[in-house]
Amino acid sequence: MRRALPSLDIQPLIDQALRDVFERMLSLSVLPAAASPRPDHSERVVGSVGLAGESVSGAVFLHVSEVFARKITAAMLAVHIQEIQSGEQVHDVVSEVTNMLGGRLKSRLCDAGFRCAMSTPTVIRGSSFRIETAPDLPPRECFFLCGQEKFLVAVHLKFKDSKAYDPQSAQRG
Amino acid sequence: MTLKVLSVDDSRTIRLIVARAFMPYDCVVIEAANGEEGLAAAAREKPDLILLDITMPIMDGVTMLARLKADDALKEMPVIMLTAESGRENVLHISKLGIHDYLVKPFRAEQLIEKAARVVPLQKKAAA
Repeated sequence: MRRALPSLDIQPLIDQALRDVFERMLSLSVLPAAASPRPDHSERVVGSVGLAGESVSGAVFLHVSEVFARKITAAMLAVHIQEIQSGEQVHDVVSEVTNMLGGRLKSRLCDAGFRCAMSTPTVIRGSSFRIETAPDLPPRECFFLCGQEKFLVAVHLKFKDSKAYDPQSAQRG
Repeated sequence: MTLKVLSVDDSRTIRLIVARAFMPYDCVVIEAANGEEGLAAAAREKPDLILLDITMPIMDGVTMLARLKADDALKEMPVIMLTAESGRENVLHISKLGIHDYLVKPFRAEQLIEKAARVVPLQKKAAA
């Protein structure tokens, strides 16, 4: 049975999921950060997973700078950053972190009665690209600080029953 | 006796973390990148324990597990599933698949070893 979802507040969910991933797998601590100023990632890496179900669809994006992507790769592999030689290692780590974030969100949605499937992760790297999602997928942006590095998790969710979730209300939460 | 642990995960990073976690123990960790490779490795290597990811390309962990359980030669192999999904429904679903245990990602190496040690007799490597 589907439950009403005024309590599906994305921010604390993503906060906790991200903290768990960073602390358990990377031994790094992260803190929520203000949206302004937005992180300026000229060279960036974006991991994404899609969610699709009868009553909900959407995507989760992890936006990090190329430098920070290499840092988290080194942390997860427990090596020095200079030992990160291949883009494949960075790709794999960003992919796995995004997968864990998406998995947490999917679990919460399924527990609330919004069954959905999650795609395998995709990673985009480059310096000049823009990600466009369907205009009716309202974004929820969560900013974080890890040391001096600011980065972003963007969650786009669309519910079939629009009353089930109010992104403005979640934004305030 | 050296144990064989089969790690089936599409993420090279996770396979590396698993291999590193078992390094202090008298184990050989064999790796496979998807369910299809995992089934072949299970038949070939006869592992003492399989650590199985769920979401993988080519063949996912649930399909691999179903095929494992349908094969008389492989069905008794103990399996611990690794999943990024901690939802009640997912946990209930995978617990009904005949697995020994499951571990939700993200996990610490100690959690993995603790779960594995409940299934197979892990022994620290003798000091050289």
